[in-house]
Amino acid sequence: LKPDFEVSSTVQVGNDAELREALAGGGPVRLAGTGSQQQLVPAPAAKVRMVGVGSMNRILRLEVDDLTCTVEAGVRRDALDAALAENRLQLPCAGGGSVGGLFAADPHGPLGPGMHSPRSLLLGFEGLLAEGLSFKAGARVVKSVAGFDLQKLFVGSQGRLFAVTRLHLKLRPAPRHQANFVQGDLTLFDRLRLLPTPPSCLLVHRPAGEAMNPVVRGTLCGPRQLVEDLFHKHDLALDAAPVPLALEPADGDEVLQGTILCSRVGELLSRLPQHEVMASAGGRFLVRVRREESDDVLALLHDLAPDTLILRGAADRRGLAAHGATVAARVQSSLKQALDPHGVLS
Amino acid sequence: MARTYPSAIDVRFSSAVDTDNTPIERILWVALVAIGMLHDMDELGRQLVRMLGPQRALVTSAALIAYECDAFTVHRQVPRAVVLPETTAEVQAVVRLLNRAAIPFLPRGAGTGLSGGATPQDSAIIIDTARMKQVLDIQPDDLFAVVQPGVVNLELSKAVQHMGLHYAPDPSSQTVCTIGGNLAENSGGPHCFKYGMTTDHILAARVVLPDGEICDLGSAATPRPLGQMDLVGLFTGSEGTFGIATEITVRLSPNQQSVRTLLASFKSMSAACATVSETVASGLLPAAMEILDSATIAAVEASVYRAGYPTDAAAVLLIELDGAVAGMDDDAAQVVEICKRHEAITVEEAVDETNRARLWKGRKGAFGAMGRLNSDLYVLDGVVPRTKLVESLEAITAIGQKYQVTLTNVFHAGDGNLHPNISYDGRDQEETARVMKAGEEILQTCIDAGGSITGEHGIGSEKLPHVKMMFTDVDLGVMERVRRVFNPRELCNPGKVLPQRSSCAEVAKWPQMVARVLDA
Repeated sequence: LKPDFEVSSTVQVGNDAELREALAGGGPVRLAGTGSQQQLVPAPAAKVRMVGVGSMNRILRLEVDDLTCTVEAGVRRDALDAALAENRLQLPCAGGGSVGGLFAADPHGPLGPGMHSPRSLLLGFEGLLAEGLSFKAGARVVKSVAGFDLQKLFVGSQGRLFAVTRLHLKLRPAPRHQANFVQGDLTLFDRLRLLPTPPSCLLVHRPAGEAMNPVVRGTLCGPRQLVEDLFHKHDLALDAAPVPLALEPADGDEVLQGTILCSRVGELLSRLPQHEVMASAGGRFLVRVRREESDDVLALLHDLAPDTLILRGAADRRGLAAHGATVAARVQSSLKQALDPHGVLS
Repeated sequence: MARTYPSAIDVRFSSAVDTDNTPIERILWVALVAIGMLHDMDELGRQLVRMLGPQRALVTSAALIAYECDAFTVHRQVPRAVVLPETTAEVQAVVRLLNRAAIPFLPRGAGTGLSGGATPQDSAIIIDTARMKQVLDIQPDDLFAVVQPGVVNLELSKAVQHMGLHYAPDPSSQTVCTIGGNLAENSGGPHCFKYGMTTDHILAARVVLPDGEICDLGSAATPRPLGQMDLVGLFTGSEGTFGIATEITVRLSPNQQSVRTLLASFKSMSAACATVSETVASGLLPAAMEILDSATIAAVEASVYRAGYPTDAAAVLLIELDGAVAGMDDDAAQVVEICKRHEAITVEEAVDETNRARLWKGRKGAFGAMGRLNSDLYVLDGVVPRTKLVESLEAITAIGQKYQVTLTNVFHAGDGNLHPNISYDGRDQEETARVMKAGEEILQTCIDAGGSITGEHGIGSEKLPHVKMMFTDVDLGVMERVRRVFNPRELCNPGKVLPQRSSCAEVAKWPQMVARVLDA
């Protein structure tokens, strides 16, 4: 755990009791799994104690025939993927690091219409309130509407509402066949995303600079015959590997992230003709900007993607956005107050 | 005419909930409020009629009786009034009025819910969304539509059919149930095995909070805008206790190129369940897998929903595959092979849309066909891991025999979502008590198997006595904290989902009533 913000101490916990003790230690706490998401989420307002759950890393239950599993929050995504692959299963969402961190940060959303969002894969959880009380929500089975859907609050919460120690996850059969593709025609983005059997991953990437053409990349899954037919019909070229939805900021750069209606991705590219842009058919996009441009670009995108914020940059800049207070913001503030009244989870 | 009572009631309500008061003082205040409400009823009724007109503000007992329950008919209470707004502004005006007056209220869609979610408690006023039935916007290029809550589920799919689109969640009541009700209950349906529940198809909602404020949750681009909580996900399935959705943005799905529907009949229930397990294990992902037992087949085949199911079978399994044409023949052949491996008596594939509709007719009409068995039907809704279907069904059969009740099973096998149906005569108190006791044991069986007490019907008032089978007091306390954020005065659909309120006393008495009748 090497965050770029001020930390007073770091502790690794291996079970609920140790986590409870760590939460009771006084002062604000930042929860982390492998720490891979820490430079993608806003820095805490004050110096924090880092509490790592990476040692809580057991796969507790893998019900192959039920398409479900239960894992501790610190299980690494690659370890889970390996265990699932042995059983011809998958967790059909993007993202790495620890599984708990992946759901807490929800860094990508779905990468294409044929992929799940983390919010649809978290069936239930067990966790701790900052005050130390153990509780659970949801269920282990693939379908339950008992009680309120508190698991929805965990996804994207960055661990600021409560700590999740065990996650009950929905799985899917591994794709029977899959192939990565690349093509230089932007119209392909719309043609493929509106298919009844759309790609699991579908991205547009346009490098920075004038006269740079966008490239469409993605992954098709399904019966071999279907994948081959789509390659032939849309004149797709095989690509070596799936491309992540990620832009690395160079010195002095920041990366903005927002969500946008897919039909307006072309407009996004037009509005930012000089910038490197990457957009997924799941709705998320990234723009690389120079630090001094950020505020202007945020303002420029306000009507197109009102939730755009600074994803990557200096610790004190991440999370800054152009949008103002709304009734929903007040509700969120009240939820934070209700679930973590002393503001322990930062 | 000047409004006089709200401020007075506000004063009384504040006094009643004042935590500095002693319990006796609080009881006294509540009694005074009740007396005050009775006194104010005429004025309230006049206010609502003035606001919406006599056609859209129902206050007479003859009109109100139709709203005394939803499709869970065990609990009944006539509402104090029913209003039928047509716009967000009208809902907001009504809610503001009722909030100021501290009068409880609840939303209602088509009233097809099966857990009492739309049944009033505490003399609540029903805000019926039946007249809010406009499709406000359709954006085929971005695969979403914006609808009012009273739009009927199937009507939405019909409205976008010419664009090659549909709305995926398909509860059995989809010909009459509404999108607003589906959102409130997080409804399921046969096809949610592949396509997910209602929550997976709701992108955004404009809601009127219980204090009358309007709040926009989610967006058409994403249910969870960046840097925000998934409030629309939290709101979906809150059973009308967090507010009233007045404009709902739903995800639309492109129609699949090819749909193949097969019906296999089996000599035993275990063979049907094993076929489901092997189908999933093979890597196929059917759109739906539904099982009906022999008693259900008999009821269906004797009814207007007759579908030609083999009446000598112990179970039939309806499997639907959908997707691209490419590869579909192989998938269908693989399913047939799996069925035969489990000694299916017959395997029939629908050869055209008429045949497909016939095969589904029996499944969709199964609950209606139960009307032949007795006057009342208790539709249970438990979930077990799919791998425990056989043993759970055996346990449920034993429970039915123990309590001597008429029990049939029709269920979403792919999800492990059981619907044991108990047919009974609701006028017979002793039989009703046995039915309820059997229902409780069946839900306990689901919990013991690692499942849930409800897969798609919700807690409502029906399952309040059973919530603690699944959740601890701490679990429920955390949920209560969340409810208080949205609904601090518990005016919005009181007495639902969480069993802690004192006003749930009548429901809480229910298990004791059952025990007394059985003891006698």
